[in-house]
Amino acid sequence: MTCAFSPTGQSVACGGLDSVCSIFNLNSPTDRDGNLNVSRMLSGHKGYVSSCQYVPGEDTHLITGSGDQTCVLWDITTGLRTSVFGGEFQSGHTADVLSISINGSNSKMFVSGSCDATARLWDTRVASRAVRTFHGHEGDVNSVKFFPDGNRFGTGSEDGTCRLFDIRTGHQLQVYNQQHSGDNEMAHVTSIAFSISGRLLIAGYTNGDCYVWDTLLAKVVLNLGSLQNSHEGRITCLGLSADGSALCTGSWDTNLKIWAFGGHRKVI
Amino acid sequence: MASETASSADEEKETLVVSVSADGATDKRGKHRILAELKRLQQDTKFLQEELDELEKTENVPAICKELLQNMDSRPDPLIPEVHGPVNLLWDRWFEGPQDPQACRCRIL
Repeated sequence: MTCAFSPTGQSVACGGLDSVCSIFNLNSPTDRDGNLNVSRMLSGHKGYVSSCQYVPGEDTHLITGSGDQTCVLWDITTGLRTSVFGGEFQSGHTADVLSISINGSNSKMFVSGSCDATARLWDTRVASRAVRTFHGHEGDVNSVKFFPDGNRFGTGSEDGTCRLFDIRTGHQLQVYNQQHSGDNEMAHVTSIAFSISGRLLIAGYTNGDCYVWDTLLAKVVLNLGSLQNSHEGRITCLGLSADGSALCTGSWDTNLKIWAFGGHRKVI
Repeated sequence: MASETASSADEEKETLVVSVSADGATDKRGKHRILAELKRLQQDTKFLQEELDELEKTENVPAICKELLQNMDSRPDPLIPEVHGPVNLLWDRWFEGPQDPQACRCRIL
């Protein structure tokens, strides 16, 4: 269900329905079938691992989100849980955690999105409770992503909308909601990403649409789903390259597609 | 209406039988589990009240939106036609095709 590169690119973490997050070291030799063996298994979750991300700048720590309603900060070297956020006896999400995103400007902070329709901001030094809870969505929060400056984050939900929240004040700054053409049913947002400046919010939907939103104006500037060679099924994941020059989308049509701006650029 | 019965002197086996729904279904969770859930709910209520109190002291939104706009203009964005800052030629590498055409089946559309 989820995978992530380590900051140095030396390792990959992935997790799913086995409730385990497996770590692969890309420098290790492969077996005779060309497969890489697992170098570490992070066990402890009591539900599926829905999302994982390495702590920026550290190949030794990562955070996972799980169907057991918790998020966990792991020490990969020992394979042990450093902190558990939420759960049976601590304040936290009251339903499956579907997505997490670590603040690129302050790696002690991360947000999580859940089937309880909230997003929560956490400080990794304080596991007993969330710093703030963000209400507004009317369905599962399938995707959360920090804004490039680290002071805001975006969400994408089963209710068909994306939202932008400020972490310092809790304000909901914007709602991104548009009727999809030819739909009798609301298309759910499955995944979101911000362009490198944050001016664009890209959202993938269950009906194959991939809207590029103007973050400030809350207007759709482009639907990648309406272009020639667009995906033919649900968009399930998307992400930007490190320099922000390309977007990659993944879909139930089994394809991954890379999108980049091919027009003339004007320098201001 | 709750009734408490102790089946043995062992505290761990003590159950609290409670009618919780109209169809008469009974809740046989242990007393300690119920107390733990209650404590968690009380905690959550306290935290929500703290957040509401803090919200009353929060500044208005327009100041934050102005900061957002200034922040966006400070970073060159390869996906936007008008760029604030120098263009990096590497941004167009995606149109060059795979480095190793033998090993890669990707194609430019």
